[in-house]
Amino acid sequence: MIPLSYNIRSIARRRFSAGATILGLAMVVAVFALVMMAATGVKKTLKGTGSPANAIFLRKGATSELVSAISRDGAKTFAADPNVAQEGGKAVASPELYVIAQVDRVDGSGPANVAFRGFTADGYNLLRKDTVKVVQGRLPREGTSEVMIGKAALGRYVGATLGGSIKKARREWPVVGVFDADGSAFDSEIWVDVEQLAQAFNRTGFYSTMTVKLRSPSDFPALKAVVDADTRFLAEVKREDDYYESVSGGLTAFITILGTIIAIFFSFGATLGAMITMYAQVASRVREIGTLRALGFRRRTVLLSFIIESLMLSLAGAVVGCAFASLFGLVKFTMVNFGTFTETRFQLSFGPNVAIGASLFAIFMGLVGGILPAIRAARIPIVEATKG
Amino acid sequence: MTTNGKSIVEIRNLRKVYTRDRQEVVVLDGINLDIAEGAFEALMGPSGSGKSTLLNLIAGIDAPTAGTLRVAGEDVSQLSEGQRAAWRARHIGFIFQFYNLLPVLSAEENVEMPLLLTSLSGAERKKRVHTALGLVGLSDRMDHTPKQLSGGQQQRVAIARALVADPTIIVADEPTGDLDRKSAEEVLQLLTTLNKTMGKTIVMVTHDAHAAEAATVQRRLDKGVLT
Repeated sequence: MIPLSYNIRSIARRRFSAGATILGLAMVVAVFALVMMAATGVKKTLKGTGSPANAIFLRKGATSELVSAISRDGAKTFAADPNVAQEGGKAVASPELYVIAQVDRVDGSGPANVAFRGFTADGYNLLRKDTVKVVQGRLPREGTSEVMIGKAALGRYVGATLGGSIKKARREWPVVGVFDADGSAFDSEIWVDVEQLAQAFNRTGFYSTMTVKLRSPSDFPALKAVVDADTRFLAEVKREDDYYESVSGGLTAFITILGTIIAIFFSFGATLGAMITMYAQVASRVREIGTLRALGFRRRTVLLSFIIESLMLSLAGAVVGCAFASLFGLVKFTMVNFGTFTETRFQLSFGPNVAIGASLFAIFMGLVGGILPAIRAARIPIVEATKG
Repeated sequence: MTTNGKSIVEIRNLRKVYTRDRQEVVVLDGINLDIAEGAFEALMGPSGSGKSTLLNLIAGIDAPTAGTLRVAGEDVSQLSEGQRAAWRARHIGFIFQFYNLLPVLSAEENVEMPLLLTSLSGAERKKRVHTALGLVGLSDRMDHTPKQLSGGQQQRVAIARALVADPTIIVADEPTGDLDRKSAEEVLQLLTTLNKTMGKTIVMVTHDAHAAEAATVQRRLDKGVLT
């Protein structure tokens, strides 16, 4: 085995070209990592919105809350099911109405689709209180147009400040509270008394969904059997986390596919850069290679040594690229969630999966860029090479 | 050093033909040669006489077109590429005209290179490297890279590298060709010592008559034929 110190010092000896190559690889790794971070962030936000201990009722076949409707009778019937948890004689259930409405952005860039969620006091107190915490102000009172807004929506829209007022559906919606839903999609929503929302938007007589707490997560199949057997209300039930994950699927796939295509195009350039650098390394070290071969190092050993050297470049690129990308770990971005067509705020999320994925991508570029120069190095005829 | 009469190199009807621009160029033509174990032989001849080619064949870095070539008890011409590499590591120590040290490694690391192909432990390798560098008088230059050494010192490091794995034969291609007179003398003195006191078989190619005088046997090649 040719010592790794030989490769490291050979790279250091040509630090300018090696540095430029590492930088090129790092840029591609950073783009790739940022794409993964965005996709992970979206998944985390939407998956985090749901809990496996909860179940959500939707209209049969509805793929999102937006196109779902549950009759009030149906909600009442299913909330009374024995598989639904009870607290103080009341079902732990939150029937909710989900409406999207256009609200002007404060930055003057026009209106955005914003989600309004109608909720009941019981639903909030029994089911949502632990995950959707009022951090400023207070809870809206029942029977009023008061609203509370998620922290990701705070200050984004005209009137969306504590003490402010949002104008919509010929009404004023005074903002009396701000809530924190721990980075989930709820954080981008505006919450209001369900009856007020139904009247303002003419959606009386039904809810969009009803979320319930299961008596135990293992009771879900039993509840599902009940709902599937009931043909009166045309409803279906899903585990809440599964539902939100399926809603995120389209957006995650969109980001991943688009980002990966961009990263792959960039990677052609970076791989070519690595290849040129490695060819230059081989060309300038012909005598060294010939000497190694004369001393008894085999072709495959020389081949491996140059591939390792290329991988060193690419791993250095991975480290720099990941370090750069991780700086964006706190960046939040807003995108239209294809599942609901509303603006949802996501946070880029840098984790081990991103680091591993980006490093594997870098290794792939290093391998592809290094293999041909390494083959050339291994094939150099010893006699000519030793004379350099 | 007197030889024991046993041949370490046996060459019979050796031919080496290169093809250049579809023209066949005969570099070595029917060479027969025996080199005794413990000999110090000089191969002389004008440029293009085939002396370096013959040395490369003996060292196993080139393959003959025809004939047999037994070195250190092995028919080198029959070995595969990989087998020849392993054979070289075991039997051949190289000294090149331009030293051929790896520029990014220290003297110590350069000398250690052939030992990386053996099963010796790190401590054993270190011990051997220090002995070899001591033999060539460079114990105080172990951490120096080739750039920090003079030409003569670099060639002495190369000699330490050639002998560190205790090879059967040391092959030297114009070992003094790039050195000033004083350094050349030191190198020749070192080779003589290796031959006389350690019994190393040395085959040296040189076009310098003075250098050849250090050898115990001088042979001349002319137009691919030993004269």
